[in-house]
Order: sequence, then structure tokens, then C-alpha cells
Amino acid sequence: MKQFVVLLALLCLYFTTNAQTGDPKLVAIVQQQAERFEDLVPKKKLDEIIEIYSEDAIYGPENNVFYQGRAEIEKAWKQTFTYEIADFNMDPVSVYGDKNTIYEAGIGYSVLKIQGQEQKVNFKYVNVWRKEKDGYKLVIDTYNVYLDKGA
Amino acid sequence: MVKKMMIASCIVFCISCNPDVSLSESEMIKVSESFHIALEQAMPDKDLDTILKLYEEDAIYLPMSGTILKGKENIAKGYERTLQNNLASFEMVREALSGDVNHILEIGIINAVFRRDTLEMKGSFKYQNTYRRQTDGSYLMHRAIYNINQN
Repeated sequence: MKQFVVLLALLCLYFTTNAQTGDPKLVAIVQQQAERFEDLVPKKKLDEIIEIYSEDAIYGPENNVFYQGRAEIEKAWKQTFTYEIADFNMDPVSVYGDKNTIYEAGIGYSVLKIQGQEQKVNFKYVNVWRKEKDGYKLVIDTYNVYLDKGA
Repeated sequence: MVKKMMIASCIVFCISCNPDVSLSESEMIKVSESFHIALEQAMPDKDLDTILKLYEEDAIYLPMSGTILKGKENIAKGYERTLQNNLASFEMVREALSGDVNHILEIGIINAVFRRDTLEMKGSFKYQNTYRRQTDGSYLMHRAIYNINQN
């Protein structure tokens, strides 16, 4: 009986503390998604970008409103794509969660081409990923831009 | 007796194993409201101690300017800069809540009025907050990001 209780306590401890910071598996998942964005955004592959989001996702870009659902998020990305994007980078800084939900915070930059001139825009972001039938989907995506890099 | 204990233990175990134990909307609202009440008072009062008490030790804060701030010490520095502004009012309007018993995700709009001498300026910001359940059952801010909202 004692052994059963000890085993049960250990199992409970294991499962209740399974939400971890920096779990290599979770880091690998968000890193892979970041690489997808880095590949797709400069190519303006809107359909594939939208597939990264869940059906009910919420997108909160800088200088705009919250967009909910894929159709609305697509409109927001179309606005972004009025610029030519020479480069796009995302760097996950903090990854936390479990197999169902991943909480990610990171920094990144876009290099925009405006009237032939390149302009670097730094941003930081908070993403929440949810495991769905066909893999992890982005459910909340919010970012803000900053000019003072490294501040 | 032993059988009853084993059944009870199994129930506890099953609950513990499931990190996605749902939380009713009213319970999520109650948690969210407690943060709103505290921040709506503390921000105009420049009450840094109260603001910091809302955050976890290893929380992540992504203010409008600068890069990602990790940990209370850095978050304090970020708020010291923010609180240099004179806020006449600070109102948080919740737009959506989701999550489970361990994490509550909230998005919403902050309506702020800044005061400089006799001049008042309105500002609107979007926010995405994650509140995480602590071992004592309370919730603290785990992640917070703000950006400009389009009026």
C-alpha cells in the first residue's frame, strides 16, 4: 500500500510539473515555426502563412486593431504585404508550456524596402501555440515594434 | 478502506494529470478583474510596488519601447520609465478570455489619458496578458505585451 501511495505521489508530481521553461522539444517546435515564417514572409506566401494560424486565432499587430479568425488575419497580412520585405527574422527568447499549449516570447526584425531604400524594423512578440489535429497552430500573435535596438 | 483510498487516489491522480482542467468563464473574469482593479488604481498613482506584486518572479514584460524584460528587477526598470508619464486615467477593457485552470489568456484594450501640464492626450493600446496559477491557487502575471491600438 505504501509503495502504491509513493508511486502515485511521484506520478502526480511528474504530471503536475510537466509545464517547463526551455523544454528542448518545445523550443524545437517554435523554432521550426519561426523558420516557416522566415521563409514565407519575404516570399509573400499568404496562403501558407494563414495556415500557420488556428481557425479562431487572434492577431494583434502594432498600430492596428485585433483581428480574429483566418479571413480577418489574412486582410491584416495583406496590408503588411504592401511593402517589399527583403528579410524577416524571428528569434524565440522564452519558450514555456506543455504538449498542448506553448507560450513563446521572442524578438525579430523585418527589413522593408521602401522606395528602393531598406529599413530595418525591430519587433518583439508573444505567441501562443495550441496542439491541433494537424500540428501546432498559432492561436494568439501579438507584437510591438521598437526602434532602440538593444535598449 | 484500502479500496476506497485507492479509488480516491486515482481520482486525484487523474485530475493532477490533466493540465487542461477547465475554468469557468466567470472564474476567469474574476481573476482578470482583480488585475484590472489593481492596475487601474496603481498606474495613475505610480504605485510601482503594487504593480510588481502582480508579476511572477520570472515574468516576461514586453513594453512599448525597448526589448524583452525578464524578471521583476528588469520589469521594475521598464515600469519606472512608463510611470514617468503622468497618467490621468488608465482603463482596461477586456475583449477575450481563454485558457484553463493553470493559465488564463486575456486580450483587450487599454484606454489611457496622459496629462502634461494642462494638456491631456488620449492613447489606446492593445494588450495580451497571461496569468499563471501559483501553488497557493492565486494567479500572477506571467507574460504581458502592449502595442498601439488604432482608434
